[in-house]
Amino acid sequence: MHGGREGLTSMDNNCYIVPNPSGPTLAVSIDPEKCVGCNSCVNICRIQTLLPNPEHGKPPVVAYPDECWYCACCVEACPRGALEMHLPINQRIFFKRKETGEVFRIGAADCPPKSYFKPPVGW
Amino acid sequence: MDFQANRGNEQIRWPYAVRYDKVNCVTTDVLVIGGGLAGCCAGIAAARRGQRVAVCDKAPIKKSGCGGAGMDHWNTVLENPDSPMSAEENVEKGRDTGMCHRDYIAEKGAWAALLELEKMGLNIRDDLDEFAGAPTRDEKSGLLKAYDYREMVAVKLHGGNFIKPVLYSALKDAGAETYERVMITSLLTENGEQGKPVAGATGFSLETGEFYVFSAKSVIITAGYACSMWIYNLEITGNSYRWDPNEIGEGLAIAWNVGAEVYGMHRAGSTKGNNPFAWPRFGIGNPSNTWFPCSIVDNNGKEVPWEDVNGKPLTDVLSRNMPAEGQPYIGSSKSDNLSGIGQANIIHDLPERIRAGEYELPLWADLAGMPEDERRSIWGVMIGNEGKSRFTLYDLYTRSGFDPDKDMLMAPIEKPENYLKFGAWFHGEPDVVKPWRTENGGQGEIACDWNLMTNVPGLFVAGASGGLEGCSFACSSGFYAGNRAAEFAHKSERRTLNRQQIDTERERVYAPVERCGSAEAYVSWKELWGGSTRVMQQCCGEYRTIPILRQGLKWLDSIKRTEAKQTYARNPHELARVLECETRITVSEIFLNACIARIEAEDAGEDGNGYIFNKLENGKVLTLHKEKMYWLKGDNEATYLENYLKCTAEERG
Repeated sequence: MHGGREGLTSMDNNCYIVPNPSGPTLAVSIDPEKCVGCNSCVNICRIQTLLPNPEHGKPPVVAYPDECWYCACCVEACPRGALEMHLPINQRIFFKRKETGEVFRIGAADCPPKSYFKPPVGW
Repeated sequence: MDFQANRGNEQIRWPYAVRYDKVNCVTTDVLVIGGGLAGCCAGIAAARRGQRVAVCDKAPIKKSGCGGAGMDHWNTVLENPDSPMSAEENVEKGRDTGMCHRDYIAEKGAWAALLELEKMGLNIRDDLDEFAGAPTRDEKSGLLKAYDYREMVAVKLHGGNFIKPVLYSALKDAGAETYERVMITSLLTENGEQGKPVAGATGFSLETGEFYVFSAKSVIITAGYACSMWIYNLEITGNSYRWDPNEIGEGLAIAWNVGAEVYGMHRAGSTKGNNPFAWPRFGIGNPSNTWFPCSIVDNNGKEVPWEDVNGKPLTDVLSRNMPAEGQPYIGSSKSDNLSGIGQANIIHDLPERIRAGEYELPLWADLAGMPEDERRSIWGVMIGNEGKSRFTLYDLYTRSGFDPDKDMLMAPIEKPENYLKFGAWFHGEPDVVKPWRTENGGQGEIACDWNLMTNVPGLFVAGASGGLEGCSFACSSGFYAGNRAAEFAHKSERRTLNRQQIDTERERVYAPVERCGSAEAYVSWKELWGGSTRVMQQCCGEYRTIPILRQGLKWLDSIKRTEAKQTYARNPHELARVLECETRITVSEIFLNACIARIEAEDAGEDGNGYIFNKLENGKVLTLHKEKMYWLKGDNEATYLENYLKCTAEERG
């Protein structure tokens, strides 16, 4: 088997991440105070939305937010809870409190305080 | 700095050492392409049979594939001891949707596959007795039944989020080698010829850009569906998109290129699926599927009544989970393939009653009004474990104050008639982009025999690539294909790799890198993708004629010869995206050709008498007609069970 550059002569091995601007949301944000640069999130990301920071120990680069599937495996993988996923739900998910009839929108400023604390079943 | 490098964005040094010119040669017995549910199970099975196994995936296998984000239902466990129906009875009574033998194979192994996953460490039972005494729980086994609370046919996957990490560990434990972030670009065959036995595959690393040449005695394609042929599917759509965006049809394209027969591809773009304006999957009020059987109330709190499949009114919540008169069980029409096993639903005349003013929109899913065990089942088991809902929906909604004990979730506001359609509840706006709202599901598959082997000797298929969708079918068919491929490899000689086939492919793969920086290379992969979706939107929409379809083929060909030769890649990630676009063009050609073959068969009066296959032979697209139920004729045994027992004889010892 060949291994040299025969036939393929003009490829430059010096590559760069040219990060895309974010789409409707940031996709994922990383808290630099909590992040220790372990790249656990990078190493689980199915789409390379996250790439390692070339500077060791620094938070990963959100390189391709527009390609994100929003699976949140990165959020799950972070041992320090430094990641938050921002779902582009287009400000359109509503819920209604049965007892009072009040209507709230997910993510809106006037949402009620968190009142449900049970983890999912199996967790 | 050339213009491609500078788009006004900052540039950051690529974090991996790139060696585009390096070639890695890997020798293995069984090569698995795609490390999702089916791929992991195939790899585990083949490795346990003593074969050297390599599993490749574009993504990190621990959470890759559609199932990597979690699972809620495990369907069609017809072989469980309490099943109301055997797999044989099911397939005999089932609808002829073509390729029923591979459905049967998957059904036959779905229960054993679930128990195998439990042995590997997946927590499938209500072991903490959280649902003790609840109708969903089977007291004998501690399993949580889904849909049907009288019969056990489908199971709620308690702990389903962890299915991939469990499989990944088992794959490593079994001794399989993994090649993660390696994208397979082509299959290699004996003498480099179409239809000849498979000899290996080529690929490259999305991190280092290095080339890979795999030599293998058998190859299993478990690369999921071929999605995103009609829709340029980024940003706003990723949120609602059900299928892993890595599923762009590489498995189908590489199999097609070596002469594998494909079936049913004309159906692409015509049924269920996703649309670019869809709501977050499972994130809206819904009475069905993951949300079954959630009560729905109107805007004034008036409950919408339910009825069973016979139209009989149901008065309490529990009755929604009980089979109707004459129903053998309530199942999933998708995988069970049986008529009359549908779920109860809200009343059929709801649209008229909304228009008459009896019910006022919007409708709300009344979680707060459900019995506690059912509420906890929907929000805690299902939303808590299903793909893309654990961290996104469960956590996001909870942070926003949503409390399933107190609240109701709104359903999309639709024209009243839409509430009778599954899609309205599921992703909303079902009619907005109709011709191409589907990207998968019913699109057809790579055809296979009783061993799940294609007509290309040594090339096997499992999971959605072989038309076997859903976690239970993916795992079940994966185990089966892994065993058959291991047996094949054990009996086969290693085939010599064809140097010219490798060189040609290597040149194709790196062309977007080679041309990067030249003045002609100004097309980004996104524009290339956009172009091929326009072809499909125009020429493979709802109204299809042979001239329109042929125009589509010509159009794609001109793109291949023009824009595809102008597309650049600035790093290995972009290279993968460019090559995916080339794959999309191949897949689109398969779809267009299948549509042409279908219309020709209809015109010749041959439609309905059998199955239409397509394949590539010496570069020409052929149409093949297979007779009805051909898998029980000719060299095959006369019954499903006999064929199954024959193929599994060696495995069973």
